[in-house]
Amino acid sequence: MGIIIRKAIETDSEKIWTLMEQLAVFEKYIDSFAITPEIVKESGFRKSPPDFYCFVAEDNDKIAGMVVYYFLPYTAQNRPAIYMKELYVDENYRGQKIGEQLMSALRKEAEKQNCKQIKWTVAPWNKAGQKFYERLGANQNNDWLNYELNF
Amino acid sequence: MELIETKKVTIRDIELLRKIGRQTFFETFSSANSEENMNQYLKDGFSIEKLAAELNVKNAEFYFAMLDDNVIGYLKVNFGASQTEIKDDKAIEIERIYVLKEFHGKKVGQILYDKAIEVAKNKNAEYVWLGVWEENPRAINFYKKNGFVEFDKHIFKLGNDEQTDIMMKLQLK
Repeated sequence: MGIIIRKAIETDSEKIWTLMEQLAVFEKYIDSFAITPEIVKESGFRKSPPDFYCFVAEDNDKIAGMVVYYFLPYTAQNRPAIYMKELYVDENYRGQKIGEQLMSALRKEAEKQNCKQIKWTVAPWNKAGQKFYERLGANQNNDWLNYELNF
Repeated sequence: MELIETKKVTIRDIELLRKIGRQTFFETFSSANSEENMNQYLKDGFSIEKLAAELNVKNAEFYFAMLDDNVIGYLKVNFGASQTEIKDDKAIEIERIYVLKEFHGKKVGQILYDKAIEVAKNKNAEYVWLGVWEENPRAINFYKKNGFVEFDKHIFKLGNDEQTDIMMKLQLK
């Protein structure tokens, strides 16, 4: 069997963390990255309900990529939505449509959960990422600005 | 795409349920049991009538593990009076988790197990219990790894043969 997309399980925690760390380097927030494998295990798999959900792309015991997401249970449309926090494919597995497959699993999950929308952000300098999302049919949202308060 | 996911089984899926039920039972138990006893169980235990009754009963749910459009495993959970023993309202029984041999080692059992725990937590169950054949070390290790502990033993009959099930449970709260 080739690459399989499936829900993440607790024993994936360490490998998921490795990808999260690689993403933090890529997206340049490694200095504030405070996640450990133990935190991944606790927040994603032991807590009920978990703090995040995750699909992984598995290649014979290796994790080639992941998509991490949350649910936004309440929206004006009275339908839940999904917020995609992280999509990442290991460098050694690029060019095999794994990102597409993870996105398509997420879309299936969204439909299953009666969601109306998947939303996410992408770094302005990440042109490859933007091209990838546009190829999937996603649109950049120019109607709203992102704000935040930091403590 | 090859996507493994779970799907709740409905009465429309009964033929698929029969097929996966028979095949996984055969793969799991045929080497250690007489052909006659196996045939009897495959005939009675997986008849359309019996499965229809199991699907229609309140307090029991089946889930398939799917690889794209193919059924590669299944789960059955029971609550309330539908539990095969104990019948404690605060408990949920995992009656069956079976995965086709071809897909062993692909985490499919764990995905079905996680589904069972999700169901149990949604139902606010205090503990999950199950019986596992004492000569199925693969299953026993799987449940131990997930935190289950042994609490009893029970005898059941496969055809004319008396067999022992180990009873295990996991406290959720």
